[in-house]
Amino acid sequence: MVVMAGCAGAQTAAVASGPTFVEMSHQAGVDVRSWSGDEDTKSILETTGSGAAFYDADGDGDLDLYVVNGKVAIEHDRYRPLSHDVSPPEDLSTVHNTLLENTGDGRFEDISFASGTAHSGWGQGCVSADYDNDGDADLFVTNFGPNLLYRANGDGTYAEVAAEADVHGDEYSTAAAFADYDNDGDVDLFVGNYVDLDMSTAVLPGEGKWGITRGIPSSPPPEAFDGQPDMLYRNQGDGTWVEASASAGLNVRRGKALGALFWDYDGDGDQDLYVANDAMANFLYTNGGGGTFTEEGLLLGVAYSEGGVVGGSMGVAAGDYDGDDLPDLLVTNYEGQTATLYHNEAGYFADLSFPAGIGLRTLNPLQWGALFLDYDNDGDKDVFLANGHITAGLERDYPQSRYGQRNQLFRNDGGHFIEVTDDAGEGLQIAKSSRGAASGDYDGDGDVDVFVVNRNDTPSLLRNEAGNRNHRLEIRVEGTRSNRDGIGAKIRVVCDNVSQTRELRAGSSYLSSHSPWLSFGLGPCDKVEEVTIRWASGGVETFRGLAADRTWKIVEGKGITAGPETRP
Amino acid sequence: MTAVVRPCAMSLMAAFLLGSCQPDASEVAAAVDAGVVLAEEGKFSEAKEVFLRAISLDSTYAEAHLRLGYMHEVADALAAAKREYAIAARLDSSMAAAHYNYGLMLAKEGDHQNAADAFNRAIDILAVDPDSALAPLPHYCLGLIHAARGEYDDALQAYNRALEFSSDLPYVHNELGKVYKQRDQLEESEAAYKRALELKADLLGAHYDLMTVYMRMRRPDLAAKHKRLFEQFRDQQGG
Repeated sequence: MVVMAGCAGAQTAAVASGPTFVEMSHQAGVDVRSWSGDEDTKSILETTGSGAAFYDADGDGDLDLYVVNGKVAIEHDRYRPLSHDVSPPEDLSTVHNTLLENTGDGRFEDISFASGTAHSGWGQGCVSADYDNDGDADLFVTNFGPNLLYRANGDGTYAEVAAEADVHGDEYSTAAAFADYDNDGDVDLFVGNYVDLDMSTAVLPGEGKWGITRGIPSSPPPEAFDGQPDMLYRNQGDGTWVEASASAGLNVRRGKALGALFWDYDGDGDQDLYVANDAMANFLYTNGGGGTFTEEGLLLGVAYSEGGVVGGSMGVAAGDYDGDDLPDLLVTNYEGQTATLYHNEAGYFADLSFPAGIGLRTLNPLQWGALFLDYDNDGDKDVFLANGHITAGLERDYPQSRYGQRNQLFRNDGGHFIEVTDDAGEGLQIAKSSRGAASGDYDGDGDVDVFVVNRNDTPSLLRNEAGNRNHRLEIRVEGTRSNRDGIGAKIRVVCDNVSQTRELRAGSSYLSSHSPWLSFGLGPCDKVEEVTIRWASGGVETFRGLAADRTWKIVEGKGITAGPETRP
Repeated sequence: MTAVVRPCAMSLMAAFLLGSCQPDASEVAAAVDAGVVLAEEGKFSEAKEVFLRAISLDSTYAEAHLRLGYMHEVADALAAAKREYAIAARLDSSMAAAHYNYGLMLAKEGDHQNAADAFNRAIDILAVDPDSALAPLPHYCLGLIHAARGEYDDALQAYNRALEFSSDLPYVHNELGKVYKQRDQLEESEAAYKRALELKADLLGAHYDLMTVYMRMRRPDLAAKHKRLFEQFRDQQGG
């Protein structure tokens, strides 16, 4: 079967056993409560929650964390009274987005106000990239309302310049991703927009056809709204942007975007774009070069699930799960719909959710954050899903529609996924209404950790305690002809004659963004034969004989340098 | 609705329209008959009230619970529907429709094992009534459960058993197409989807899946044809 392709060289590696993820949010000082209106949602605005980004905000070589927040309540008389399990703070100015600086000892310090990033609003997602190529990480935040572009000043502070740069918009913005789609050396910005929501006229629970779900008054679904056009901002390289969605071929149909990522699915060296739309067809924009895209998700098999079933698509992840050097796609969906695993078959995609072991186990959960990650460092892509319902109002009558749901972990076993949630430690037994999920090695011990935003609750910082029993390699890149972050670079690592490829991207999962440094689990192999990087500029470089369990930095055209060893 | 049971929903009206008991002169039976007429006219709220009244007259009248379950299901009150189907099955263990519909509700909740048990009970009951319009449906639903579990041999067996009762069920041919596709039997898959479309030309899922089969067979011309048909019918159906 195709699903088994590329598995002949699979490494036999030490299998992680014992507790795998431990929840550390309080100990690490990141237990800032997220707010998104009422648990018993009355508006669709309260359902989407928010995301987070792991990135190096201060350039000191470790991962900091930005967490987006919403509001305690919708400020409109049509949406009172509220019901909260936990009383909101009296001082609502304490509810804001949070920038947490990694202090290097497993803890974080809140520098939101000092940095100038403590925005209060209906925050949705975030993504980081050095958009002006000046050597420090900038940040884009989506909102219901004007978005935010934080330009790093280089001294730990940011200037908010969205309006000045004309990338603020005023839609219900959700997903965002940076990539150099026109290959001119700087990253451009895609912003996905959700539904056309007018708080003064939107259907209320109990009203009409859209205010009832399974006989229960509830917030209206996305089908009750029109979609909004997405935005594609082309970076002009001088701090200004041009909104180019029309000329680029986007928005032939209006979508209801919740997830998006840039990827080179066809291996032709440019960045294509996938947009997950809620309750309608998803879009696959194939980059034709010259700054234009063609939407062909339907024909290529990624618009819907098998049977043409439309999904409440939310989160997206791309990665080569079966080792055939073709990036595959994972999309999270609503309850009763399964997460969809699209296998890249070089020219189209096949929905292999059920044969690959994902389908049956995800029929019930309502999935949001989607991660391909090698949690056990055995060299293949495992799967992490962040789950939780949109409302607390259903589970009284429908126990299977629980508001708080466990997240899920699937171990990749030769291209087939086995759910290991029950055995993955106490961190995976937490049942909250999860939303965004971001991955990164925040404690620098050589294995990938996960941060999860939980709606109307404290987050989950899941520290990986077992993955680094195998060997690993971390690659950090810096572009010179390519954009400085190296976004769009593809890195192929060969160890013991087994190869794996990763593509560096900014923005994926659900409203979130992962570590900008690529991690390669190596299993028992401790000496890398070859690392090949194909830059977004088209340049290709190869390096040989690298030691494992170390961070390596590659600067385009200038060679490779060894960084610190991975601490066990 | 779950991917497993969505195609099963087409059986709701089929099972509902089956007369499951002989005419009875009692007031309860008359009430149920009246409720059935109202439901057939699309007056579901009124029918629901009539069935509730019948139950108030005789809470052990299984068919009243079954019919009330249908009305709850029409109103998307699935928890209530499940309760009524369970009561009907308990009151009359020989009522195949009650077991079948209870199985549907369990499957929608993701309780596939108990759903399969309920479908098997319906199959056992219907073994003595092979001409019943309900007869193929629990086999079909069992096939969906087997397919979701990757038990493709069992799925094929269940679907073919359903077709033995009635060969003209487009949804069953459609699901056969999926199983053959997962087993890389592309020609068999193509044939099954084409048969489904012969029986129901606007079956969206068949057009979509046939499009993907043709992409896999490297027949982009035929894939494009079924893409157009999928889009045409999708737009007509308000998708």
